[in-house]
Amino acid sequence: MKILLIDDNKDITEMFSKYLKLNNHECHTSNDGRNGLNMIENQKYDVVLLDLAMPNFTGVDVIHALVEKNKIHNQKIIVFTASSKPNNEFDDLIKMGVHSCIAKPMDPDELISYLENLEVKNI
Amino acid sequence: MIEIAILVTAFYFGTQIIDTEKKDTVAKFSNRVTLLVKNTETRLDSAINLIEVTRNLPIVKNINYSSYISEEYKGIPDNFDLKKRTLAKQILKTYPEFEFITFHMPNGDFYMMEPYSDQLNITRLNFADRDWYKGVMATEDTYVSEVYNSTTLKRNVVAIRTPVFDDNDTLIGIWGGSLKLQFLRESIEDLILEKNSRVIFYDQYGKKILDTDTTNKSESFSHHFIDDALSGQKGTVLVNDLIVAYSPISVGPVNWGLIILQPQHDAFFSTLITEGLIIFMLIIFSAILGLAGYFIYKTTQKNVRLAKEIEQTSAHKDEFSAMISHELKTPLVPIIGYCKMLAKKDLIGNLNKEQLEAVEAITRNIKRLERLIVDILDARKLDLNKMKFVKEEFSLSVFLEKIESSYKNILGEKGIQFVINSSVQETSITADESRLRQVFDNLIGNAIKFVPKSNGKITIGARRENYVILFYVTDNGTGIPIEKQSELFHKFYQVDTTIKRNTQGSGLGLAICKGIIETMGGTIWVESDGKSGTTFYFQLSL
Repeated sequence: MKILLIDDNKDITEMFSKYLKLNNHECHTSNDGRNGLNMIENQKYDVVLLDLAMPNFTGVDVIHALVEKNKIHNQKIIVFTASSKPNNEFDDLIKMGVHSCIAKPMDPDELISYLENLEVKNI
Repeated sequence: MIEIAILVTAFYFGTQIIDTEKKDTVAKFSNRVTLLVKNTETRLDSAINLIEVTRNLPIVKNINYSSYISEEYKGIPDNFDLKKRTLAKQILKTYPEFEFITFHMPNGDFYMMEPYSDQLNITRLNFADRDWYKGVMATEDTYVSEVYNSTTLKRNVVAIRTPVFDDNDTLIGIWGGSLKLQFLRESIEDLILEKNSRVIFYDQYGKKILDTDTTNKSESFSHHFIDDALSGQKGTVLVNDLIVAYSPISVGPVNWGLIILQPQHDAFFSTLITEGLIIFMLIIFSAILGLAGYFIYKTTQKNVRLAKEIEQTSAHKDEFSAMISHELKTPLVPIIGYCKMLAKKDLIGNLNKEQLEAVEAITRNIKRLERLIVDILDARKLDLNKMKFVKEEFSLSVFLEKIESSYKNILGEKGIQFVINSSVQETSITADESRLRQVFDNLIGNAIKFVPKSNGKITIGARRENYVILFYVTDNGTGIPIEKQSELFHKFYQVDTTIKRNTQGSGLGLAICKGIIETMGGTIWVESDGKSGTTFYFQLSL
């Protein structure tokens, strides 16, 4: 699976990209929303893991830009959230075309099995 | 000599702390004004843009029906020029702050108004005497009027009108809309106003158009602030007992004025606390003096800072929750991830037994930290009434079975007997299932900590009593002393306050349970003889 991980925390992107690579997935990373958006536009990814709270250009900005350019459905967008329970904000994101929301801190094993499950079921 | 030197130093630092805090408060206050001005200007600009963009559409320029204008319809009847009406309806739908959309003839006669029912209600045909008409004619440009009371609607509105020219630059009409003053209230609502703040808007003529203080008391500040604001100046000043900030709001070609004021006592609340503390500190100095006094000074200074922080965080409750949630949880992600990587065999190398135990201990404690953060946030949400409840009907027996399957095996391994005792097989309840589950998880978690090491037993159950369901979680632990039971549901309360206590917890679990149950309209209580076993009961209406 070809995955793009966008999170401003370098430790997080490094850790997950190692973990995903060790589990035989291709993982690219970006520590900046705007740069991440460019990568999505220039390459085809199966899944984009997107942190919402980033400085300057947030995850929500990335989503808005993709909706505007009609590219939101080109890949599955999975957002990370630190909120303990999903609320209306996430309903809105889902309506805009985001695939799903995962609560931080996410367990890497669970995340990988979630991603692989997506691939198998193709949902 | 030394005593005097220390006193002088203490006084110097004391005044410095007060000064910095005052500056902070004044800066914060003037930021607030800037924010409100920007917010209002944006709302107005988008309304003006909408009118200016649409005036160039052929639908607006087409006025073939002007000969149908009549006194009876106060313009054209509603079945003519439908395209213009449809456009007007669309504008009203896109921008609900508009009260109505109109088109007037160059002489000020009504051509049409949308909604049509309002058009029928207007009292006359010609409006050439209006401020907006004169403004548009004089400037030949978009004009934002003074605030006026709409005769039809008996409500204060502000008119945005723009001239429409044909291809030969001849004036063929005036297109525009009127905004409800509600949009100003909405601008204010976007801000969190500080205690006893008052916000007043003035139009370009210095007429008060909105005042958050509805008691109509006279202004206790000088009128020249309004003049300054209208002439384009802004500032924040301390006068008498008030902190006053004023600023112009650019409304098309004119300025409106904005004034925010707050009693200094409220604005500098934290500073006043500081002043009190510093005086207290000085008294201590003169009493003790010497090295001990210095340490007390340091501690007091820290308390002053703490008091300030607490004051600030309570003013930004929502930001605090969001910040704490994100900032505290994010660092856990790489910690958990790397621990998993290290603990897994053959992934990035293998650890020896002791190293593995160390990593497992880190993981365990991270999980506890995560739980604690979630608890703190939940307690805060309950405090702020911000916790969301999703009510759905669900079967109680299925609910209890789910709990049984998550605990039975784990507790079995620990040698604790787990019993479900339910007589609600056929009953459904409408409640937030995940929050109810959270209450059970908390109570079962507590019970696990208190049951004896051998022969521990936890029983959970539910039974129907008239129109309520009574739930309970019982353990066969040492019980809770009767005198401590009343404080049990308080935040951060732990029965055993000694340092060497055997159990761990945030001290928030029961307070959260109480908050959740009470928000769902129920009650929760504890029964224990203080010697053997404890039962927590809670009931919810069906």
